[in-house]
Amino acid sequence: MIRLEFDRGTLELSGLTAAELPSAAAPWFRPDPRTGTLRARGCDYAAAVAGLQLGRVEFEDAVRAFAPLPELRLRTPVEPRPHQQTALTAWKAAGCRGVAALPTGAGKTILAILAIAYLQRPALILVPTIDLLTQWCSVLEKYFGVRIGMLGGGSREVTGLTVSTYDSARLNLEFIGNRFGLLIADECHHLPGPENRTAAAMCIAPWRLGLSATPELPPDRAEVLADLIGDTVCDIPIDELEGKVLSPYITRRIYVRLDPEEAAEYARHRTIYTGFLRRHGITFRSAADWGRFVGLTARQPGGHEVFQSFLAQRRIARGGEAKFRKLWELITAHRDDRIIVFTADNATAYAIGRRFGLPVLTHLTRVAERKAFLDRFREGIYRILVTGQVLNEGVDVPAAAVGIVLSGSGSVREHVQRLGRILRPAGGKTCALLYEIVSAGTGEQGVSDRRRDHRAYRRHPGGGSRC
Amino acid sequence: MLNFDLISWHRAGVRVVPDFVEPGSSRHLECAAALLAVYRSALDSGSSRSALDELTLPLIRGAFDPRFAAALNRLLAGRAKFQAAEPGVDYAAVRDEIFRRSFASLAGGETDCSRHRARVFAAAGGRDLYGDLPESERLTGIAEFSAAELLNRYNLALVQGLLLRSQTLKVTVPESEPAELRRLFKYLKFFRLLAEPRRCRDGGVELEISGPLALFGPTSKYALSLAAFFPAVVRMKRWRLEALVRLRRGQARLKLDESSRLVSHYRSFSGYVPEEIRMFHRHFAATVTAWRIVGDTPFIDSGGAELIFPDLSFASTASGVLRHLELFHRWHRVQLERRMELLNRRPGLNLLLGIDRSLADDAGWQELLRRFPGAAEHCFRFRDFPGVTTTLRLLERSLDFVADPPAGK
Repeated sequence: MIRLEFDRGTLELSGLTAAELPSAAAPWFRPDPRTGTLRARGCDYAAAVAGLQLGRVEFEDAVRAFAPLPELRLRTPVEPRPHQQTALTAWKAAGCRGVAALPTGAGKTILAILAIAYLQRPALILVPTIDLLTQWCSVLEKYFGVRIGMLGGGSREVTGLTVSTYDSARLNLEFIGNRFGLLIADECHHLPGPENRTAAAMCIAPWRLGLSATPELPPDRAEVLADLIGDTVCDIPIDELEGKVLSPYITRRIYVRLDPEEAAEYARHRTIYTGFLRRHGITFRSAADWGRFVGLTARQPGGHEVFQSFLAQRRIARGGEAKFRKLWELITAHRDDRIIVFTADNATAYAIGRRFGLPVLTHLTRVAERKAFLDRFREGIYRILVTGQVLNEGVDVPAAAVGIVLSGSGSVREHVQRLGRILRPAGGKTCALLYEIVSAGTGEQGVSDRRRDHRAYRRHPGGGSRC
Repeated sequence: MLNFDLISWHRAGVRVVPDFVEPGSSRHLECAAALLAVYRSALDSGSSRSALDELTLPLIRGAFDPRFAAALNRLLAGRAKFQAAEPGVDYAAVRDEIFRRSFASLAGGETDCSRHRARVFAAAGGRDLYGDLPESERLTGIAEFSAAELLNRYNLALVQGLLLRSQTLKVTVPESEPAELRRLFKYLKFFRLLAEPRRCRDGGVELEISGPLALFGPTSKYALSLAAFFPAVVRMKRWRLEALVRLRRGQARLKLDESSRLVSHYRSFSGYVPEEIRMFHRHFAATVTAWRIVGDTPFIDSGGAELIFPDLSFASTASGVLRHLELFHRWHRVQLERRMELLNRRPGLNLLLGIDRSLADDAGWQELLRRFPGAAEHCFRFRDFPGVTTTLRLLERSLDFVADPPAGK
């Protein structure tokens, strides 16, 4: 008796030897000497079954623990916008597998809802943060009117439509990876990471949809994404939708000078830090340089002081007093707008919250309170939210019209995602504004230049207005 | 466990060698004792997490080996318990009040930051707006280690930290210790790992340990399980371990054995015997004279790669003939079918199966019998836990179908 089973995120084929395996199925299976069976990855389920069937192998398929859900219907019809229809058509044409690259605010969630309604199979949606987890649950419940399962943020309930953080999926899919027909990876540029990729590999879902505003990846990771989700089936850039689906926007970079005492302190630490870099020929042009810097400062005599200087000069550049004064100025100038303040680190976010009496949303904020913060922000009870990294991606706050980047990394992806937070159209919003406050004469200038190296900013160099 | 940055190691050719400390070394013991004293004093005074950090920082910086001290601190912090500074205060409500005042102040046109702050924070009564963040939590419990125990944990953690950067583990154990091997397999099951056992020339068993997905290429998915599994290896009297560890530059081989004098803190896993098994033992001893339960259950070589560890072994009082019983509960479906398939192929094998009815209802049972007819006489079904009478009946019947070795062998 030949039998195919789901075993801890893999497929186990018993009753057949590697020599007896038909050539159409051979690429997917490997002999497992630990169990004396043949084994394939969970994600290769559809291909493996097709291979066995092509080879006319009679086998019992005990893998799938899901069935079609004919009752999974939209409560009210959704009329896709043209770009959503384009993406859906392309995805279907690719066999319901692939990545849709749509800018933030373009309605990626609606595309996913259309895909779920089309397939009517149990679906698992992977998201990177708890905020997105709760947001997806609310939206799915609204459109389908069914109980939504949640994995993450203290919940462990699996239903026909389940939303999971990537972290929880990694832990749970070895047990439940055979219960879904459709896998949707939101912000799917997270998926090829060495840890997250195992989640998608352990799920048997034959149909897969990746969603991202910024799917550009290094070649090795792009290959992993294509293997686990599929190729990019449509790519709609941000400026194609600006002024139509997305709000028009302006970006403004504001330079401030460090206070004299801070400038002296900055110069002292910067000299120690850059001197060390020069002595060891570290340029940060290669990805390995950071590891080398950390390793050297850990091992070399005096390395600890160098590392402390690195942190100190960065802290001063990111959070000088002049930045706080400018921030207050902008807050009071936009008293009628909904504002998100972005910082590079949580310490600065809490410093702002404590100084001005403002709500701060970080990974430390408890689930109930973070939901309350977002709800009150959407309702206009709170007009400002301060955040470190957690609002960078995905969270739907259409009312936000002003973004203030007090500090950030050199990551283009982070900066584009932050811009995306304020671009969703909303009643009364005529133009979105993204400020970037940069400490002049510090290393921050270079960091700012690096993160603005994207089409979304090149069209609006330093303040050009389309509003 | 320790971050890689806190692990002391060096390379010796192609090998990575953890820099174990001597548990009797006075300066290491002093450092451990000093940190433990700080934690105890912080516990007594109910210090906050940030205050604890301030107390430990000078000790770490001033230690003869700051990385070693930081690692000890990490081990202690990982086992410390904290709770909210003011458990009765509803910080979320306090904050909401402050925020509403803050937005009212801004909406009212306030542009002076000092006036804004004075107006907003008057309601806070000097309380920190974010006083419920982890940094403000109070220490309420610490691990009661002695300094020497902490050093033993440290040595173990060095290896575990390296194993977090490995993908497979090779463990060799002598065959002469079936009880230890059985315990090791229990831990393997517990951590959901797979092992490929191979016979060594010296009579030992070599286990190559990883997880199912590891077959398809490098994955760090099982690293945590491998690291958590390691103290189970250290519990054995004799063992050898080998792993390939990914370092910042290239990889190196980690090789250890019992001569490293590591001390495991795993204690109670095999000591735990479920109450129903105890009851079965008592009832069987009280009612059956023809057979007795024997303490040491050996593993059975299935002839393939798999070693089988029965749950109970019985000896005939009259002949000394042994019988082994493996129990299958509701979560053992895949293993049950595998075992029935084996017995179907080898009907003379000395292995009896007790199967929970929730695993095979009548229809399911008929289907299993249809697929594996040769296994039928080896099996009985039970509800929740096997009864003594049913077990005895099968033991007696098994004298007819199990191929026992000739007497004297």
